[in-house]
Amino acid sequence: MAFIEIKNLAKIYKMGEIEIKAIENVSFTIDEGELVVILGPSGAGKTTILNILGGMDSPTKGSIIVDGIDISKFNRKELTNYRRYDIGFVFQFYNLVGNLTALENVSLANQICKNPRDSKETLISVGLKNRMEHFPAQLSGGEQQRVSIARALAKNPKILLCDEPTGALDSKTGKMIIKLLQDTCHKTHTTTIIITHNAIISQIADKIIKVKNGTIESVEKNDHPKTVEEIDW
Amino acid sequence: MLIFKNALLKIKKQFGRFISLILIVALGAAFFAGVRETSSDMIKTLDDYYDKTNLLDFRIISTMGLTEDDLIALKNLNSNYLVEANYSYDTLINDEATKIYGITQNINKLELVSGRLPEKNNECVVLDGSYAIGETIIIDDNNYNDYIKNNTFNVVGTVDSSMYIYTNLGTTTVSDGKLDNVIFINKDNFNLKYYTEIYILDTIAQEKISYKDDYINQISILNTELKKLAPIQETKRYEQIKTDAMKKIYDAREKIAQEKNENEKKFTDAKKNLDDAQKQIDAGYLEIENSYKELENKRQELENNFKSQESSLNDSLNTINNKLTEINISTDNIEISINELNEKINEINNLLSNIDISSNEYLFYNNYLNEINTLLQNLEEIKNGYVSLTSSQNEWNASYNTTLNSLNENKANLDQKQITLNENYTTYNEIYNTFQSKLNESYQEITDAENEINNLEKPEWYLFDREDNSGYTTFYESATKIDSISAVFPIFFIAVAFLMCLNTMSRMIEEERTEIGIFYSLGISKSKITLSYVVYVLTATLMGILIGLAIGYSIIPRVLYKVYNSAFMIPTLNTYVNIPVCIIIIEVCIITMLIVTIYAVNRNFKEAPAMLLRPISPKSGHKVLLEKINFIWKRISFSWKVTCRNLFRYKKRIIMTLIGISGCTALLLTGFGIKDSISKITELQFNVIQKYDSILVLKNETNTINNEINNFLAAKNIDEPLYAYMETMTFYANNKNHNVYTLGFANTNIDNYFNLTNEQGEKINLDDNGAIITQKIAKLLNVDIGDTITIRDNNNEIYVLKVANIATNYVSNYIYMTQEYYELAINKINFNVLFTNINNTGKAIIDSNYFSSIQYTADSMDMLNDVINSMNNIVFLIIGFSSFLAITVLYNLTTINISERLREIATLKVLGFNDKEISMYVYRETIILTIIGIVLGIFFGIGLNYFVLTVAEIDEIVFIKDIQFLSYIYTFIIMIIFTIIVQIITSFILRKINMIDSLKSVE
Repeated sequence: MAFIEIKNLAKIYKMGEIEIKAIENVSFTIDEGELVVILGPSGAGKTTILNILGGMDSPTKGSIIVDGIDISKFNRKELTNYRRYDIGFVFQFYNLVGNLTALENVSLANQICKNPRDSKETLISVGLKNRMEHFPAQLSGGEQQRVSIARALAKNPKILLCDEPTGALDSKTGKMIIKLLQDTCHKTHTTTIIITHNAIISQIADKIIKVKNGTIESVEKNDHPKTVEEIDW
Repeated sequence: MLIFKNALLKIKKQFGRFISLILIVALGAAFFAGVRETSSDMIKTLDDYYDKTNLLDFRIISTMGLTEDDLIALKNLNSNYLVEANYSYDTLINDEATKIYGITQNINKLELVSGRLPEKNNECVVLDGSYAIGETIIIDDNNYNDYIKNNTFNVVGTVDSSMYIYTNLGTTTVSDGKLDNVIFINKDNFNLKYYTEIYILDTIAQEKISYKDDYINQISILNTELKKLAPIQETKRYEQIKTDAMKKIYDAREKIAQEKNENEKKFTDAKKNLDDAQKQIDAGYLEIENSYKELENKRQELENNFKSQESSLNDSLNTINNKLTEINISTDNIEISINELNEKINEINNLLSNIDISSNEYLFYNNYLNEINTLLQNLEEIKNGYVSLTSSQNEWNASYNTTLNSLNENKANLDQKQITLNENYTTYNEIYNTFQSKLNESYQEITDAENEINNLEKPEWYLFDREDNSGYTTFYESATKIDSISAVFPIFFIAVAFLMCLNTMSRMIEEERTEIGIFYSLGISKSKITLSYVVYVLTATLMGILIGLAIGYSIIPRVLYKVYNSAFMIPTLNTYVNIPVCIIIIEVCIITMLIVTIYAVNRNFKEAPAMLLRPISPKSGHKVLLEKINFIWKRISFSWKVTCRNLFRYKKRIIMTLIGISGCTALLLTGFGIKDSISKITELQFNVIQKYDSILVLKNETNTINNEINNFLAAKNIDEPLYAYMETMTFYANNKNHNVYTLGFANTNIDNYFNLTNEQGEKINLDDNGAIITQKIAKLLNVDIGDTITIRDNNNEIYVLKVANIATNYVSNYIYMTQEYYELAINKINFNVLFTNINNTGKAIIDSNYFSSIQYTADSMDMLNDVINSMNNIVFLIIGFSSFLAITVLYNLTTINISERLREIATLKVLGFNDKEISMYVYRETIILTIIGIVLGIFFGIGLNYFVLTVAEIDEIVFIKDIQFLSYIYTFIIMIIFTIIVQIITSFILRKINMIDSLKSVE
């Protein structure tokens, strides 16, 4: 059985009489340790999938089984715990706490976990050995995103969810971040899901899920993912 | 149109913030307008009352009463002046000092509360709240007839009088000098020949607002005129009294003289008649006396005569008897002798017839016979002599007795006449003496009157204006006390409110930076963008002000006025809306809000539109000072470290929060502080300082300790009463007279009944070297130990006292002295009161006839508590408003805090922080700031409390400026409770924060 199994997922927003279907009939599976890219244009419904996968929202229909547990019927508290213990989240705009140092930002996350990784080691592993005591405003965008990744990883999550991790970065820095994610995924065997509209990034994925108009267009298994150095923006 | 829509959207978007903005403005405006307006409402209400009842401007009394001439002279001053004369009489009714007034028609009109006005002379009306309709009032004074026609009155109505609006009615000349009651009767019920007082009212001054400068200036004209008129009328009256009296004396003297003349002739005539009668009687006596003598002489002469006749007869008889014896004739009785002789003669004759005629024998016998015949003849003669003598004697004796009787009768007549005459003499003397003593009396009277005239002092006019009416002035002071509180409190209030608004607006504009940028880049003009915020602010501010003014002008003055209803007999409050103040409040609020808004919005326009679209580059974090103190920092848990960091992240926010919280805390604490300051007073004054339970007022003053009374009290288990003399005097400070009780004690040790301590709480003792004065006197006169003070009694006599010590005291003013010092510095004293611990045996005490009344300390405590309880209204108002403000401020600050960190919180949610952790993440800061704010606020509060109480202190009462420990606790707990309430509200807001927001780009 797959690590993540999504079946007939639908999210319908009701605005008065009108029903807006954000996603419908979404089904796919992800295996443990896989690096998955969910690819689609703006408004295709990938963020909705991300929200539901990340435990920030519940689906209207369908089931989503993570490591054998159906989270689709989770209540508020269960969802919080799911986010807390199972999910590491990397934001497009990093979302670091401005008045905490890089190290403290990482510590902020791992203090609520059961088996956190050491904050310093995590930061070293993302290449910020010399920037630990810096505040976000003193760091470049790429560095901030590394802190963000380190924060997510420090929680030792089952799933690392990355929302357009390169969206706010220039291509060079973006590449470095993607490389970090790929390396981490391979090294730590953390299931990593990257959401992006950038098709190039999908080349490095083990699995590519294409979303269009709220439905899954295709799920492709990539048996030979490229390294970051091989891809070109 | 777009602008208004946009403003409306802003309101909708953060409705809580909008409401809190309105509430803050409303609270500030309500408190500011209401508390400020109260005193002016009160003064206007009272001014209306004074106008309606025509309260006098001046009351004129004279040492010799006032006349019709005075009345006319006053009326002639100015046609704008209302003048009315009246009578009054101070007396005792049921041992209560009572002033009886005539009912005036034009000035000092009475307001009938219930019943009706008197129609008959035995009817009266009383001040509302004293006697009840139907009660009968009897004047104690037996000489009432000198003043009024009858001494018994039925109460037929109750009235309010603008002259007597205060429970303290003022002073009087009877009893202990404190007026207890006022009653009103018909004017024609008075027996007085002259008016006791004349009232004068300037109708122009009446149009001005009482107490205000315009009024004072207007009546100062009248005052000057009266002062000019006074000496003229005084002299007139003096001359008139003098002339009248002199003329009376002259007439009296003339009359006496005339009467004397007339009566003296009458008396002389009467005396002469009496003397003549006496003379006649005396002559009569003399005559009778002579007749007695004559009669006696005659009687003696005759008796001698008779005796000599008798003795010559006896001699003849003896001679004959000897011859008879010779011829053997018995001599025992003349008749027998005669008979025997006749027998002898017959015998001889017989013999002779038998014997010849010429015989010798015959001749012998014949000679013998002749001899015997001669004897018989002699004897017969003697016998006749005896008979003749006896008849002469008898005849005399009869005549003598007749004459004597007649004389005795005459004498008796004279005796009777003498008795009658003597009686007449007595009557005459009595009448004459009475007349004489009467004359002497009249002479004395005239002499006295003359002396009196010679010593006659000029009559003096006394002018009393409204300021001399304790009710009038006390009310004003009380009303302006609110002003003094309102000078500080609302400004503080407004300041807090203003800062909160400023904070809210600048925050809101910061938050909407991107929106401003979009509008700006779309080419919408600066003014239009600004306008949308201005509309928002103005809507909130105007709504707040209008709500605030409505509450402020209608509710607050009424709530505060209630306080004064217990101590004053005053009409219902008229509330007014002070349009100029409203306009000022609205203008000030709007202008400041506009400035703040326009400034905050325009700050954004300095940047290019493109820059505005980007987020503000985040401020770099700082390490806080605490981190450098390693050993502390190491021990703090990570979340607290985060809190510490966050705390110092935005200094502006810290300051704002601290100002808001500490301001509210200070206001709350001051509210409690005021409550403390007044609520403890009763306890301290009457249980700690003045420990006695009652004051017994002696019926008869005594100059020594009275053993009879002491024994009587001892029998009632009341030992060691403290004898003292008590009098109310005044001292002058801050342009007014203050009452003070002077006490002279029989003992130096008064510890059983008084506990006098100095400022440091050390016990102080009485001695003979000076007086102990209470702290308020010292403060008002600005004197210290060793200085002297000046006081004056009811007769305006001035005394100088040396200050031996200053005693802590909270209610009224006292000067404590030993008897010795009192007599040295003031006057010889007789004790008139006893301080005791009697608290319930009053009836027996009064029945004993030693005392005229008992003043229980418990009653005084009740009265003071009444006033204090009503003062609590202000306190509740302050506490209520402060609490409301506190909760609004806390809510406002917390919502701002959250909205500033919306993204951060959403991120934490995504990271898996649970609700509690997220709340705590925010609360930790709020709690620390709240606690720091409360602590700061407590310090501000102590200062504010001291300031407010110092400014607001009432003359009669010293406020305790120490805040009770419990009040700190209350303030702290209330603030914490509010914080918790606000946190509970915000926890719902926190829950609603959408995690998806964290995914959006930074605004």
